[in-house]
Amino acid sequence: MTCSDFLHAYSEYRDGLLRDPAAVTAVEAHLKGCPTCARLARAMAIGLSALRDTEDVAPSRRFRTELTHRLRAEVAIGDPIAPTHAGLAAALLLAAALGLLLYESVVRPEIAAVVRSEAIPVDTRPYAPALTDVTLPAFTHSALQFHSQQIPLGSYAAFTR
Amino acid sequence: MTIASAAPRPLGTAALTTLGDSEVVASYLAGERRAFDVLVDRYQRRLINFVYRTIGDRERAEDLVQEVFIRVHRHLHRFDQTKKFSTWIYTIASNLAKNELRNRSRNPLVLFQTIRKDSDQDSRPLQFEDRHTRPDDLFRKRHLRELVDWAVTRLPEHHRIVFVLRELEGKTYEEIAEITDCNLGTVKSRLNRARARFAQVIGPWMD
Repeated sequence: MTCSDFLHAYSEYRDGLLRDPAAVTAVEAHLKGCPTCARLARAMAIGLSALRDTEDVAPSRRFRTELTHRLRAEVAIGDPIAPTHAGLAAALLLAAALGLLLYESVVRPEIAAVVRSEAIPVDTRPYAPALTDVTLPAFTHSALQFHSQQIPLGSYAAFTR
Repeated sequence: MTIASAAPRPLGTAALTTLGDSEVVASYLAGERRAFDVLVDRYQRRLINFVYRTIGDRERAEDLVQEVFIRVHRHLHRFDQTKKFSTWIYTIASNLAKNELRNRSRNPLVLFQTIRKDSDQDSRPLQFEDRHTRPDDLFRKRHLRELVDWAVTRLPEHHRIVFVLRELEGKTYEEIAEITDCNLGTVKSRLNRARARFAQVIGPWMD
């Protein structure tokens, strides 16, 4: 067994998960014969043992107080928008809107008529208007000349100086 | 029999503490609000230690564990009760710890805060835990503790989480695979590399 093979198998060996007896024997034989791997295994054993002996950190006093406040805030936010309440509120709003619409069309039919007559026509064509349908402004040589005359050459020269 | 007498009687807090996690969760979902406190009592210390060992900052670990409980509270109704609650809560904690480590790698200011906190701890006088132990033994013991803590922080993020779950939380390979959403082979490989790296880091101080 090479050192690389040993490193590959040692973790499972430590956890007792190496099932093959031949592999277990090979790991143990390498451990006896290789001082470098034996040193690494020793460091691992001492280090992991020290790590497990490390004292647990206890929650501070502020931890539980703050958590309780945050949970209360969650509950306070969560309850008013419970599905049953939200659904009831939406239904009431919808009923009010429908009632208002009905009232306007029955009690004040003249307003409803004006609204109907002034409806904005909607372009229902399923395609965008082609360029040929649009009147483009004329783009002439004289127009270009007009714009070029607006910039005096002197000011351009001053800018580039 | 009246309807009132047929309704289940609420359990006392003491009775709740004797229940398993899944029963406590079921009890909370049935409307027993005190059941959530039982879950917090049961997991707060374990999670704080897990997150603290992973990120190396105690105050931040407490903030993150609070966030874990907030998320549990928010999503408990969606928790698949056929699964293990501890695996679920550790998955949430592990993801938050992972995000924290990623944010830190992008934000060197946090590293500065950690360094400052460490130097504050160093200024404390040496405390004698056991009067029967010699001071040099105490010093070596404390030095070793600090050394192994430091060695954990030297591990890459994805190795560190697997390492802490195995070595400090005692999770099985299968549980770690579920918590970290990796296959068993990846868990074995990461744990193997993490242990080897850990031993390499502390090795020079062991002689």
